[in-house]
Amino acid sequence: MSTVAAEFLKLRTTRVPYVLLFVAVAIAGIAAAGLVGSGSLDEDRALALAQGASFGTMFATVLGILLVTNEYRHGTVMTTFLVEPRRVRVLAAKLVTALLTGVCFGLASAAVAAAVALPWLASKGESLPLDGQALEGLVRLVLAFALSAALGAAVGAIIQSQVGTIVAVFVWFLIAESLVGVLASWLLTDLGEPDPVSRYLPGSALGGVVGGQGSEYMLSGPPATLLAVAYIAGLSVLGAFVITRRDP
Amino acid sequence: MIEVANLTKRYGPVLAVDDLSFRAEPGRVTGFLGPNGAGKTTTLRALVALLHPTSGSATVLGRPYPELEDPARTVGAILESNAFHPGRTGRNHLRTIARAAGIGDGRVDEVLALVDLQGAAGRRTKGYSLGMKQRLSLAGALLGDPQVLVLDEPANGLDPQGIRWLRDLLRSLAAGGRTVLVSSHVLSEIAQLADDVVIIAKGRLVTQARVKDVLAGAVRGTRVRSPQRDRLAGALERAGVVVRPVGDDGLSVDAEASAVGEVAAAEQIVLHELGSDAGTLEEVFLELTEGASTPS
Repeated sequence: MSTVAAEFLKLRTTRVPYVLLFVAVAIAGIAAAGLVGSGSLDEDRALALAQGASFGTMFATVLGILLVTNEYRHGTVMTTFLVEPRRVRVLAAKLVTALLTGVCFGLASAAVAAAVALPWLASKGESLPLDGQALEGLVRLVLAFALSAALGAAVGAIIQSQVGTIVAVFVWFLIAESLVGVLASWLLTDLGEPDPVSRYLPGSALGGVVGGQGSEYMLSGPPATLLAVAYIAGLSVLGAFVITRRDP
Repeated sequence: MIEVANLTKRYGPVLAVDDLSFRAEPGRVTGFLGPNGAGKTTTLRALVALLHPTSGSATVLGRPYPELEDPARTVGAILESNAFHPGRTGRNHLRTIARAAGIGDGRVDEVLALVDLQGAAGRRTKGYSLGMKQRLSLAGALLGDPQVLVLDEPANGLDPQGIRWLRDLLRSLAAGGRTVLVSSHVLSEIAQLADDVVIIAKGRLVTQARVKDVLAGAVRGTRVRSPQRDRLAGALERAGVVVRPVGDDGLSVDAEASAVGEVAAAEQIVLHELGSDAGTLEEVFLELTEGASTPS
């Protein structure tokens, strides 16, 4: 418990987490404005807004990465391990902190998206009923943020180098998975058709947590969430293995 | 009480620490000396489980570090003088350690006062001087009021007043019954601070001894100057004493000053100087560590 409390204090006493939160929230607001302003919101309004806001999850991933790699970059990991020599517990505390911080990011993003969309829709004489679907959009968005942050922390524990981790994660998410998708659809289906492979990749699974447009290319909802959780669990176990063996 | 037993750490083909054994006793300041690259930092990190030794063990109060009940309140350590997030204030740096260790913020202010850093506590550490960083590291090590202190080069970057202040602080901590192990590559820092010294070179133990015994061992014989140096040398050699010429008119003699004086008097040789040839601790240190670095 005290280790988790210390991790939160570490986050609160530097600036970057606030900047990341601000960017994530700003993206949620801009995406909501874009969706409402362009009139492209159809039936699944809450889900579409959640999907718009979910672009900010990459900043939650950065936060998770920093949570671990900042300690290696600045050498504070030694002090952290002096206080808690059981390194697996340190990693567990960081994963919990990442998940909870991700929840905060998700809630804040949802609040801003709602604050932009609701009055605007009302002024256009339309509505966004705060019903079960809205709740589902909120839960999915919050889950996506929480899991994105945890994934960053887990990969950070494996790679430990800050720049290395950020480059690896984003090259994988933004380039490698697309290449796999193109390759798989070229080999296994027609180009442009959904392929049977890339939906099982981690980035795609994380995207599927929120779902929405383009969901024919990915798993959606519960299966995507379970797969993302499985990836994070696997990466965390690997991270625990590396963190206990490789000395700072 | 710190005990290092047959500690060995191998990095690929390099033996950083080679079958090293020594102890540091409570109530005493133990200086851990060696040239740069001798394996001091490796040893200290192994002691607090920041690295896995290849073989051997290091224990604090009879236990490996990770098995201590409450490590942060048992051992205070400095292993890196610049291990801070540059954007975090000094006080918040200490608060993060205190929070993890279950120590209240009141103690944070106490240690800040102890290292005389209250004025800068609210500033980000990137603006700190090397001396301020050392003080902040020391404050972190003292947070849990530990029984054992493990300090890697704590005097680095301190000015002469700072070094005197550190010396007084560590002496008073040891006087309170604590075990204090302090590494340095600068002998003069340790000479007046430590009760005991552990000297290592190339990862191997050179000697463990009381500082005053090492100094006593530095007295090697007698130094004598005479305008009739060669006659004196001849007379001493006939008496079966080893002599070495020093400078134009000096001799270094492996014998008591009184014996040299008697020989000179018997031969009616004029002496300009007669005294014990006391080496400094620095010379002993260099001699010991050089001896150990020659390949065996």
